[in-house]
Amino acid sequence: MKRKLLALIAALLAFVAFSGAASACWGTLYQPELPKALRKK
Amino acid sequence: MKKFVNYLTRELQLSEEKSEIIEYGLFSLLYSWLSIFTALVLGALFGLWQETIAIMFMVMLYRKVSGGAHIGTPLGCLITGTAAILLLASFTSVFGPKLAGNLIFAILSLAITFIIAYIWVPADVPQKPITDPQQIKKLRALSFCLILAWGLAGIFLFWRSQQFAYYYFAGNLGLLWQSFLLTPPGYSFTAYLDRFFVKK
Repeated sequence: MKRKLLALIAALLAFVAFSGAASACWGTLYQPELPKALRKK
Repeated sequence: MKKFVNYLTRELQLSEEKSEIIEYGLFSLLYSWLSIFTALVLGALFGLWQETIAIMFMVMLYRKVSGGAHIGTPLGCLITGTAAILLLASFTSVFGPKLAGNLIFAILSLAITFIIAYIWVPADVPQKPITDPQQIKKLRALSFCLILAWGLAGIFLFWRSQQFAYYYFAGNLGLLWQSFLLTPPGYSFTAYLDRFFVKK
């Protein structure tokens, strides 16, 4: 059960990261370094 | 935050790549909410929470599709972003009652926004380069759609009530501020502010 919950949290955070990568920026004035895996080749 | 990501990585046996993505997502989520929360609390303290919401909504929405200049540190961003939004909210409360119904101001701000978008959108930063032609095309299209939708909403609201026009004025200020951050002077301005936040 705990593992399922953690997997769900991880999936949601990955979704946030991917949707953030698809947009031009975060929406705030700070933009952290985009992870290499999310950079479009 | 790092501890939580490490915990998730360990428990789910994630690769380093996936761990980085999750850390980025977590930071993005927490930081966005912290920015919104801070601006709302301070806006409420100054009795300007409604203006703050209208401005912040437009700035964040338009920023998502247009990009723009950034501050080098999260704290610098929090201080500068909140101060700018509160300043615009104060400006709305002072000048809004007089200028809210002004059609020339509304048209002029939309025209400026459109011209700036045409020249500079999407405005990227080294931390998040936008080089994919497909993505550039998509972000430009989304930006123009948003400006158009905002313009149409304005036409609708102007004939509705003065109160709507007041918040529309606040939104226009947010749009203008975000447009400024797309321009080279906007980049110079944030680079200047960076000197106060980034340790050399």
